[in-house]
Amino acid sequence: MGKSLNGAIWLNADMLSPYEFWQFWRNTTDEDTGRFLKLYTELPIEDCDLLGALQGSDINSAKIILANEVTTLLHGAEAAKAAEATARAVFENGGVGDDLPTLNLSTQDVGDGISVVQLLIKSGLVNTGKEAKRLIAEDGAKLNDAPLNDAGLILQVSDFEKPIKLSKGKKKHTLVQVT
Amino acid sequence: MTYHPKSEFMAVMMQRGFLADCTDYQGLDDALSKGVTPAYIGFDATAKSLHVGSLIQIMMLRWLQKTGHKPITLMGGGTTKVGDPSFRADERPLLTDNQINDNIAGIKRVFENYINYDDEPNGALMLNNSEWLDNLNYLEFLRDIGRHFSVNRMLSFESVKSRIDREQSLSFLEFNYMILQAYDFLELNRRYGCLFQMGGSDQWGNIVNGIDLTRRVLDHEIYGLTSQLLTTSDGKKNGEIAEWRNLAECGYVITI
Repeated sequence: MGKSLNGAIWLNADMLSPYEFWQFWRNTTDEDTGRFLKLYTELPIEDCDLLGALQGSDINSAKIILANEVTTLLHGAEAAKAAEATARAVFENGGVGDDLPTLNLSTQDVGDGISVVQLLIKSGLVNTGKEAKRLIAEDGAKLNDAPLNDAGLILQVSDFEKPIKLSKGKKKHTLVQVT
Repeated sequence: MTYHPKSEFMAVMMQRGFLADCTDYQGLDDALSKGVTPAYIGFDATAKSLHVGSLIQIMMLRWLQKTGHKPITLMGGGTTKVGDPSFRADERPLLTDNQINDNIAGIKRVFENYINYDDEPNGALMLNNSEWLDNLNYLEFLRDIGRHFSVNRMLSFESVKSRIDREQSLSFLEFNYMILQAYDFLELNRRYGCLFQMGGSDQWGNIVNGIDLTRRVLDHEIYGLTSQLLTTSDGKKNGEIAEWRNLAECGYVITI
C-alpha cells in the first residue's frame, strides 16, 4: 500500500476535497460499478446488481449513486450533495456534454496569483499570450460561462475552491483545478 | 466455496464480495454465531491520511459492528517506527515520533465516520501498538517470542525473498516487522480477547504468523480473514487507481 506518493485518493478532506473524492467514484468503469456498489455502499445487494447491469449512458446514473453513497459515508450527506451540484454545474449547465479536459495546477503553480492569459495558454486553449489577449478582446473567452473581458485578471489560489471552467468559443472548454 | 455461513457477518462478507480467504471458515463462523466477537485490522501510520485503498478494510469493520461484533482499529504507532518491507523495493524513510503521532491523529478522524467508539458491548476500540511495543525488553522478547520464529521460514516469505533475490538490502529492522505484527495479534488476544484479524490478501502471511504464535504461546485458537486485493477491471490495484489525478493531467477525460 505504498501508492501514496503522488495524486493519491486520500480520505481526509484537508488532503483531497469531497468534490474530487466524489469525482473519483463517478469515474468508475462500467464493469466495476456493480462490484463497487456492493463493496463500498450499503445498498441492498439486489439494487447493486440492478444498477450495475445498466447499459450505455444509463449506467451513469448508477455511478452518480455510487459517488453519492460513498461520499456520504465519508464526508456526510451535505458534502455529497454539494459535490454532485458542483459537478453538474461545471459539466451540465454550460451544455458541455459528457467530457471535459482538466488542467491540474499546484498551489506553487498559482503562487501569488496566475493571470487568465497564462491559464488560457496552460490549458491549451491558445498557444500564445498574443492569441489569448486577442481572444479576450474579441469576446471569445469565458470564465465559468461568464464573459471574460479583462485580460489583466489575476486569479488567486482562493479562487479555486471549486474548479474553474475556461472556455474558448462555444465548444472548447477546460476545467482548471488546484490540487 | 460451498460453505453456507450461519453468522450474518460471514454471510455479508461472502455475498457482497469482500471475502478472499479465511483460515478456518467453520471455526470462525461458529465463534461469530455465539456472541459479540472482537476483531482487528491494523493500519500503518505512514501518512496523515489513509487513502482509498484502505476503504475496503474500513467497510469490513463497519459491517462487523453492524452485525453485532466489536471492531478494533489498531494504529501501528510502534510498527511504523520499523516499516513494513512488503511490496517495497526500497527501505521506507524513517519517521520521527512526532510525525507518527501527527499521522495517527489525522487517520483517526476518518474511522469515526464509519464506526462508533461508544460504551456498548460492541463499541469499537481504538488502540495503538505502542502500548505493548514501546517498552519491550529485548532479551525477554527474544526468549519468549523470538524462539518461536524460524529464520529459515521467514526467508521464504515473499516480502523478504523478493528483496534478497534482487540483492537489495533488507535491514534487520525491517526484517523484524513480521515478528512484531504477529506479536500484535498475540497481545490483542491476551489483552482484549481479539478473536480474528482481517486484512487485504497481501497480509495473509503476517496474519497466519500471528495465529501460529498465539497458539504456541497462549494455546488459544484465533482466526484470520482476508479481503480481495482490489483490482479495477482495467487491472490496476485499488491503491493505484489513485493515479487518477495524474491521468487527468495527461489529458484523461473526466466525465459526469
